[in-house]
Amino acid sequence: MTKAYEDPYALLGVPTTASAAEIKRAYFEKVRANPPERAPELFKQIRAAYERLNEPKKRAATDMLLLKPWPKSERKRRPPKFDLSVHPEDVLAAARALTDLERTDWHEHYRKVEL
Amino acid sequence: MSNKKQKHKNAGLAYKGQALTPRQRGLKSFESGNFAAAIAVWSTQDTRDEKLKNGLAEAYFRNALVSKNPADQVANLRLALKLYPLEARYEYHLGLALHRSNDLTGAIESYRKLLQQRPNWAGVGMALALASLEQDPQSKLEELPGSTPVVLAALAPVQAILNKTALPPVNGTPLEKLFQAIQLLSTNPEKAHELLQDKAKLPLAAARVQQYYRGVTALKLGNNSEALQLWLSLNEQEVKQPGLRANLVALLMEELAKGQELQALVPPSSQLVELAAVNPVLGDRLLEYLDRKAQAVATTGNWQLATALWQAARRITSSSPTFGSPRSFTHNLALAAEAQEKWLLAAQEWRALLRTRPRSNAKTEAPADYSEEQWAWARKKVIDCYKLAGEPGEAVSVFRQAIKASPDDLDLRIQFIEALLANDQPQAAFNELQRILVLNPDHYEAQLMLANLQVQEGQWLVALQRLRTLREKYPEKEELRQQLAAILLKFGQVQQEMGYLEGAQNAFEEGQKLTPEDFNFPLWLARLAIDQKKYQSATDLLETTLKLGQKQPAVYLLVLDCWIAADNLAKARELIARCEADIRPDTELYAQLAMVILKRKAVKPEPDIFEMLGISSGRGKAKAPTLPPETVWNGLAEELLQKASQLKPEDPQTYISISAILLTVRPDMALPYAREAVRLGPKNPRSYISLGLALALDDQTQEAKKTLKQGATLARQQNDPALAREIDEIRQEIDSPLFGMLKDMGPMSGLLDIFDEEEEFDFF
Repeated sequence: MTKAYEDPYALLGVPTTASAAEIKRAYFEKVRANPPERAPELFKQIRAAYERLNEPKKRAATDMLLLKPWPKSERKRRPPKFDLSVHPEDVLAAARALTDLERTDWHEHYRKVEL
Repeated sequence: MSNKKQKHKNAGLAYKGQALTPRQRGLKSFESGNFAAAIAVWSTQDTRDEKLKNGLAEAYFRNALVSKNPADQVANLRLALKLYPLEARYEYHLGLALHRSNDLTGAIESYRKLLQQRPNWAGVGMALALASLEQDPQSKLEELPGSTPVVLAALAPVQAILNKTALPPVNGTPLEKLFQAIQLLSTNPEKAHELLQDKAKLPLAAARVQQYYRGVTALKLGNNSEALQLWLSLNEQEVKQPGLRANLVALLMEELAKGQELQALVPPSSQLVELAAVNPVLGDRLLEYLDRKAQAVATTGNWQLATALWQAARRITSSSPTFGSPRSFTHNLALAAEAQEKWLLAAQEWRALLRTRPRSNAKTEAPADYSEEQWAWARKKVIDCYKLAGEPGEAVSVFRQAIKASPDDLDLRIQFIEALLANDQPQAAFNELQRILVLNPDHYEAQLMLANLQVQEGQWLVALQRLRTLREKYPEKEELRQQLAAILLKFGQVQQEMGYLEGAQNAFEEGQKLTPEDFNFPLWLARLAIDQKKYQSATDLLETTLKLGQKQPAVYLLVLDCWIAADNLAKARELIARCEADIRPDTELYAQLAMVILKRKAVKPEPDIFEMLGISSGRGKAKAPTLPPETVWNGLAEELLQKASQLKPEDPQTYISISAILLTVRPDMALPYAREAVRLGPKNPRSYISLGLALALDDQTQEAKKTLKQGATLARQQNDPALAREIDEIRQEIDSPLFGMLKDMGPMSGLLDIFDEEEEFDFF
């Protein structure tokens, strides 16, 4: 059984860095836009989301249940250039198919040993 | 049985029961394919014996042929040739082995020697010509011994490509088509691509060259995804082609930069992970892609794929410190394991996360992406997950073992203490805390934990003093302020309950000073004021409570409870009107407001003296607490329930919610609502749960069982086996002695908790 992922910040439409005041503002805006008589389920979800964030302690625990994004690297990203030329090594490797260099079965070269 | 196995079996039988001579032992090994063992025995024997010498040479020869290592092949063949310098087979294979080791001079020498002895030896002319070309692309092949017209024709395209001259006319064999395509690569990539599509079977090395250049032409023609697929597949075969890895890195970078879906990377192969690990620039991009993709699939509930992606990402980050800490992946993997209820794995992942915590004495200033409170939360998770995995003691042994390895690691000792506490070993935890405080008397977390332990032991004053002193040292610690406030609140409540009103007042006032933003302190001060009949003060304090409560539904419920305790109906009505204006209550909130009244105003019946003495009074069982009829409070409660039901009078969920709330305080009142839920939603299995429970609590057990059975049948018909199972479980429970006992104890006795060990009563 797997659980669905819930992100109360996403539901309230605020970033995870939002201040308590910003969260509260977003909550009221959402509630106004989705009153219980029109969208009872969504209203419940909005309220539940807010209740997970409206106290610092609860918010700290909620933050631990959020997926953490991988921080973007600051490293310069110049991709290597393509080298689409012909490599002699490749031609010679293919030419080895003309010889016995890749052959593995040499049964006819075996000799019986008798003592 | 295969021929080989039969042969080995025969070899074994031939010598069975006899003491073997070294010659025979060697022969037995030889015939079993263990040539090294045969060499070990025969090389100590007299090689003047022609048969033995021949056997030894053949053993060296066969040992060379079975070896994968060209250097071993060369060494064995030289030893064979030492015994029989003119044996053409040995010379030829020595030439091939030297050729494979890129010792072209040695290979050419062997081939020439062989051609002198056996000018018609098959294959040697071609091998010599190729080795010569590898050594010098300008070699005059026609001057070499063994260069027949066949050899010259076959190698002509190779020489033409190497020397960048025009390709001679070819016959169109698969290999010639490959050479032709390579030749056309820059001038006519379309034609080259077409030739490279040739499906005719080529030897492995040539087929890989064909696949690589098909990728090159695909890229030249703008078909990046085909090129990517071809090169990724070659990379997975661990092919060491000169241009492959660099071009694959360049192509991956280009494709990842587009931000599009790349199915070929989901999940990435271990070879791709390796490639990214040694190419940090590609690694950065791939990590971003894998994380983005994993987060996207996790939010749709595909935790399994998300896990595979984060595991690959973590392997990349773990390969080199240049990628930074794998902390975020470990965190997400822990969440993924929990979502899949893989508790043991989740415990291990949370532990892995704890290991990424920057050392408290670390010189470098790492960004604090987790607060101390959150680290503590993660520690608790380790313990909780081990518990859920059915191994509560595991956390204790894991941490005990870890402490043995690093006895001075105080963070680890803190984790150990938490594990001990979770495993119900408070004394051991206390002892361990003392050990930490001996090592570091100012250890912040240890002091905090000790205070908590003291609270649990009822040593309130000692614990509070410890926390006050700690706060003087660490005024910046927010969680310390919160914890001190929480203990003051609890302490005040205990004092109030015991009738020590002054002690309670002091505790609440100190708490209010410490956390002026917390509505709990004015709330409890108001309760105290009500107890002391200081109603004006209570009014002011409750006004502050409402302001601080920031329109949270729970705060209206708590304030209402105070006005009921003060028996002030006018204030209660005023509050409800304010609540309606502020947050427009939904069905549940109206029902909860009613419940607060019913709970507070319920009157316990007089105990039946006859029943207490074990004598039947003939009055039947003592009933649950009931509300005296016709009180003004009863009227208000009914008014609220009326409002609750009128918000959506035709929705069965309205009545399910109301009855679920009433069940906990007034099961008798829940019954009509539950009946209404079934009437309006005869197809909703949850309606039957509320009715079944209400009936059971009203002593109508048989009717309740029948109702619940109907609910379970409906759930099955609606393909909800999980809900059906839950309803069946309730049906069994209502007949249990525990249910009967709790029912007799009356409402609010935790009756409904027996259905669910979690505190949530979530059937509804």
